[in-house]
Amino acid sequence: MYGKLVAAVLAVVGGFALAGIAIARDEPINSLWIVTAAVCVYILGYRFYAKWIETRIYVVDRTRATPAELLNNGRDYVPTHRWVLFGHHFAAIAGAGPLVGPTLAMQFGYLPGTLWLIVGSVLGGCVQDMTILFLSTRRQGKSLGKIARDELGVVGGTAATIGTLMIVIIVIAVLGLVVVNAMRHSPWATFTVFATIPIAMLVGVYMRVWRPGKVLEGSLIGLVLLLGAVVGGGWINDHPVWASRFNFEGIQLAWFVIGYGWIAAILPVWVLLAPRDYISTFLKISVVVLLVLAVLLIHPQIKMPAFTRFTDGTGPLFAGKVFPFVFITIACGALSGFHALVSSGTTPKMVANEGDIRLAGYGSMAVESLVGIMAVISATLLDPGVYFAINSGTGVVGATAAEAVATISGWGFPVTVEQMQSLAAEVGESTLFARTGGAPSLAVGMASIFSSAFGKGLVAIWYHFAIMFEAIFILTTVDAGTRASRFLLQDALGQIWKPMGRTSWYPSVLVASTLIVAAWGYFLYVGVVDPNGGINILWPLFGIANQMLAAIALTVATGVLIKGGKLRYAWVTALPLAWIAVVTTTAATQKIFSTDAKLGFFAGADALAGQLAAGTLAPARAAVAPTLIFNQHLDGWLTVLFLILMWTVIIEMLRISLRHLRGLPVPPSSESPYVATQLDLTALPRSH
Amino acid sequence: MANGSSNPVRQFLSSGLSLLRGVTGDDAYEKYVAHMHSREPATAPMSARDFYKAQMEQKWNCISGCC
Repeated sequence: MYGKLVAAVLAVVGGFALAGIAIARDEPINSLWIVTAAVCVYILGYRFYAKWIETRIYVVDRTRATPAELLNNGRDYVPTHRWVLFGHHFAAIAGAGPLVGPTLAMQFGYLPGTLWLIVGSVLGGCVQDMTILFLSTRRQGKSLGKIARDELGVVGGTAATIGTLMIVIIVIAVLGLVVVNAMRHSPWATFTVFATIPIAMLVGVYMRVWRPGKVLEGSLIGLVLLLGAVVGGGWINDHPVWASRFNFEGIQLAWFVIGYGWIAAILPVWVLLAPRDYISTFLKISVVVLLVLAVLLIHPQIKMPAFTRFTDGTGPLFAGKVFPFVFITIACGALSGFHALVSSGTTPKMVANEGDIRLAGYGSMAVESLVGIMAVISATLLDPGVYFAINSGTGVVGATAAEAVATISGWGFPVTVEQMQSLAAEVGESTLFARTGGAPSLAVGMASIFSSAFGKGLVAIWYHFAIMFEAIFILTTVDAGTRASRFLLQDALGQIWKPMGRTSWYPSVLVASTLIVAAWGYFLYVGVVDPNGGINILWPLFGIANQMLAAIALTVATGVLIKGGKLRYAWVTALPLAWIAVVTTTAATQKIFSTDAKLGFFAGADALAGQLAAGTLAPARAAVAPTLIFNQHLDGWLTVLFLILMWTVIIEMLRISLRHLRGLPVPPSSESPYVATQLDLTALPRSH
Repeated sequence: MANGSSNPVRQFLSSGLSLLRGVTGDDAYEKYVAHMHSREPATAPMSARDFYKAQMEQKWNCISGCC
């Protein structure tokens, strides 16, 4: 009775808030409306939709023993308390993705991105994460690729594995580009990001040698040192000699990230990767809590309009209309295929009881969506003119400050050179023009929120804290991703030549690591030399790859449901699958076939080749033009590959489902048999 | 449960701390030792140092995080 009353109140408040943000036009709305709408929808989704899926479709059995119990080895298979499981899973899925994507998508106005974050998560992303976690838990914690192979056969499994490798490479490149753009000509940011490396190594030695396994102590020491590095960066920035030593060109920083990624991939994990991940988990949880509190405290007005003129596809951050590109740009936070890898990785081996899957799978994703909402608020509380000035590349708005403000003001988003200069001075940067990639504008927004809530006058510190916060996630993705894909590649190469498959054989480690680093290093390099900022090309490519993986995960889930005799309920995953397949296919075909040079990869390459041949390019641009032309061709062909991979798996699933419905033999279900749990069920908390 | 369970603030803080230790993996070794004592009392558990090293290598041999 009480629960129903609460739900009714939530539904009314949430509906009212949603209607409020959807209807409000021509007047600024308050961010509190957005937060209220989002949180009400998440709670309703969790309490009712997820609960219904859990009982009706999965038929969760609380008496059934999980792999954590059956294979308990005290190490990776460990029954874990449900809230610890939730925290672990959230920390594993949340990184820079849900911060950067929504920031970039604000070029369409706040409404499309906000609605996609809310609706996409409760009906799409949360369902995907929870379903894959459930499937993997019922299959001894097997990976998505393995489940695909078992349930859909070799073709589906191979496509899923290739897709995984491709997306990891692109994600490393695009996030590497984000961090390079945040450090470019910024001694403060560069010093702070560089300092994270020796700090992590020190913490690594602390946790491994001095106080083995004392993760909390080590992380706290690391955190204090990092805060010191943020403050120290300010001192470096004001120092005439040291400031110039930390002032680098983008290309130098790209080489630094590439070299760093290679070294980090071959070092033992305890030296750098593991300690930084520990510090990053700590930072992640505390900053998310702080950010939500600060937004509730100051509840800023949203200055961005609900829709901008760029819904027509002419946006300066990236080309393409609001449909399908808002759904491609915001992956993490709404629906992200990458999460399926985590949900079929470490988390299923820790689930103590099937009843906890809803909280870890659905709940963590809802919180990640809230992180995306925080990024929306941070980006839209800025004057739109400032947002566009920070995020537009010089190739789009002009190389000088005067040209840029003239172009942007001409779009109807007034901004002045003085305004940008005083903002840059306030945050301790030499300029904020053309700082593409989303991280700087997000950091300006976060700094404004934090300094209003917790102390005026510290804007510059908060700005660089936010940059460091993003960089630490990104560098973790760079080396963790490089390592993970190195293992995937070694596994694949081992099929061709046995010794290459020995993951600890040094020649194999070196060859595989070099190949992986060269692959993402290439995309990063091209992104940095691109005068349009590189993000405009790489982020859509990443989005398409990520949504392709989401489609593959949802296809596997739908296939398992149909084979399990649940055709009636298959729409739960088939509906988000249909949506994301349409979105990804539309976006991919536009990127392949569009004749608009800004949108189509091949059209862009042709236009540039024409300009190069006609000799109309400035010398600096002519020098990089051949590289950019080759890259656009490559990106175009990659997009073709993603489309083929996605549709191969979908068609394979449809074929197998049809065979099943007609009573023909199909690969048998790979679900583990029922074993009764020995754990004390009465000791487990009851879930609502 | 014996110490301070009557004090709600202290109880809140201690459950918060145990949650944090669980999420960060700070208590992994203690759990492992307890597991070994109850399940395999005849085998000596790894030292804290070896356990940490083995944990790290195992955790980072696969995709264990998103972007």
